[in-house]
Amino acid sequence: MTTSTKPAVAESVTLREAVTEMRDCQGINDARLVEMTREGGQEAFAELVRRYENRLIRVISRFILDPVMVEDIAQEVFLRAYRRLELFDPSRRFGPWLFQIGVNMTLDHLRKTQRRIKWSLFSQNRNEEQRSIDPATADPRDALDLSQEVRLVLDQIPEKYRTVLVLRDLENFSTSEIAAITNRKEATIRWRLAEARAKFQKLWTARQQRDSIAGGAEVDYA
Amino acid sequence: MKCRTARRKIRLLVGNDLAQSEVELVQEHIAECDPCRRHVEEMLDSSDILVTYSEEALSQRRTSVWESVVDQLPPQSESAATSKRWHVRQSVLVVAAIFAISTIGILPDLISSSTFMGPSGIQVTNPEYVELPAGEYVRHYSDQSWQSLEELDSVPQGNRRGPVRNVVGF
Repeated sequence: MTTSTKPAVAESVTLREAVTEMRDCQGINDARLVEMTREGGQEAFAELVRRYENRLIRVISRFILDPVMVEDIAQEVFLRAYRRLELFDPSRRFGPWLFQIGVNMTLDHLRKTQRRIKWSLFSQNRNEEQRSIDPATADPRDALDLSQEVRLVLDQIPEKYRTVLVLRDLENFSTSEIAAITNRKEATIRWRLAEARAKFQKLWTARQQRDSIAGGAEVDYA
Repeated sequence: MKCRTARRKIRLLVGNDLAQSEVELVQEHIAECDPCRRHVEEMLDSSDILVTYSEEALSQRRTSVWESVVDQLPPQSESAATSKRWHVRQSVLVVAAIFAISTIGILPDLISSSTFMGPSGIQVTNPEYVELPAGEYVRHYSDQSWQSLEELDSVPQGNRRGPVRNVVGF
């Protein structure tokens, strides 16, 4: 009897301590939480994860569609941040440092994926006869909604411009934060931002014009 | 301002990324330049598309990734709990060490020191006899009780000297 109740009591005490510790962490600033994590407090790091996970996942999912992959990368980002916490300069802000890891890992993943796709297309072209496009097949763009259209246009923008555009116009980071995340000067970020917006505008307009011409042609045939 | 410069700044202006001093210069240029005014409209249109896209609800998550992250972290026993216990143990050891050192330091005095300090700063140079003013108390080592000089045996009134062997704890 005694032996069965002891672990339960210990467990409840541990749980209570954990909850208290968690509540205690909520009002603490990032720098202190980093310090507490370095001293071995995992609950302090849990609070940092809770603070940043939603935004980090949003940012990653601006680049990667697969939600499972997005979550995997987010986990990896937090694990890498935890392992590298000793290298973190406490005079800097934790958020941009974390997002720097996040953006780098996301772009690394994208590059790897794109290399794999290119290689597989190259292999297919060499080994198989190229199939002709069936003219009867409807244009897949017809079924696309706004978000897919935007994503397709964004994918055509070179990575260094797209990253700035996503962080500024989709995720509302300031240009100074983006400079910290991408490890570039703010002037460079502003220059890239202007370029990125111009590229998006041109690609978007061109796409809309193509769609309207295609739509017009369909009407004529009908 | 040249149109090329103005257009670069317009692309920043549409996202409120232009300094106020530059905003006024660009506005002056736009007021006089039709092509640049059209460029503002084009940029605002595409900016609206991005705003709409950014506001689209992304899939909402119900659980925190922490649950998955914590499984892959090194066990906490090596960190926080151990650290806390280590600090407590270290503190106890330090206090014990200080106590031991100070005890060792006064031990000779307890046993056979030839010098004691009285309650009024009176120095006792002979453990056999002590000279204190009237009304002062000394602790008798043998029973740890406080005694006045008058209570001690063989204290001749007047010179206040007597056998106060092992007098400690003034």
